[in-house]
Amino acid sequence: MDMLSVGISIIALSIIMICCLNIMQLASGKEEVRQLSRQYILRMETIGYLTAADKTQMLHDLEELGLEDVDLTGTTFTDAGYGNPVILIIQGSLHMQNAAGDNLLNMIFEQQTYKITIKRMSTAKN
Amino acid sequence: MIRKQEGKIEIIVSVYWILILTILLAVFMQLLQFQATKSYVEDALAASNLASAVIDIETYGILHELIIADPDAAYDLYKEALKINLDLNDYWENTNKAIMTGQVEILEYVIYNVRGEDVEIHFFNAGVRSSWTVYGGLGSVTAQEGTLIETTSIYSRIGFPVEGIMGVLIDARKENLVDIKSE
Repeated sequence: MDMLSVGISIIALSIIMICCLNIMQLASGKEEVRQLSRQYILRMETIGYLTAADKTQMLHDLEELGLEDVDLTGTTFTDAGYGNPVILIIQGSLHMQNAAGDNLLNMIFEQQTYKITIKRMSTAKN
Repeated sequence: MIRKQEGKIEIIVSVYWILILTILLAVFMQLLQFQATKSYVEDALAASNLASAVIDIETYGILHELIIADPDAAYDLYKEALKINLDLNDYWENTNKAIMTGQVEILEYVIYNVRGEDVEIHFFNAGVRSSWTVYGGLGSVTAQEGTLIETTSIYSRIGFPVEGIMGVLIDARKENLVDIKSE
């Protein structure tokens, strides 16, 4: 009986901890993508659009952050002209390593990709 | 009999600790969520203020003054930018209810145009504009949140509900001031 109650407690606490760690990891990953989008919308504001070179660099940076299947539909790719809106839309699947590592509990939390969408708007100041 | 009672007590103590830890984790997660919301809204608010900061190139070319010549157009740009930067739908609600539980409301949007020593103020309240000029106001006029106006600036304040622990609704407010400087 003693071992059973201790065992159940440990399992319950582990599940709660794993849930929290996964949520925190996802939030952290999303925040990193958001910060990156901030950096690029500021560049777009200065130049007036997302240049091909910036797009390539951004896709590389996003890949490093674990974002897959990136879709930039809706993003401003041509010069918007002074005072007009410039928009950056990043959609993709955030690939997350399971915080618990490889063990039986992974079966409960096996989903490791999360769809995210980041939208940013500013105005061209070029 | 005594062993049976000891077992029961151990189960109760275990359940008690699990409950305490769960509550602590829930509070911790809620604080993290509030922090994330704060950062998300501050960022979007600053970006939207900057988006609406479209200065009049002609005035700058002639007088070297940074002026937002069309306050109504600036306000429209601000609304458009805020809607996109906060990912709001047509009802001005965020799709992620954990970030914002209900409708976002623009409480104040103010443009401070500095023309020489004068400060021209365009104040939008519930979408209605009032404009006036404080002659010789440079150095004395302050923004709504207390910052001294030294250059042309934009201030905005929004309100939105956030759901806390046990479904308690908190009426959140966020404000931001951006100033425009030439390089």
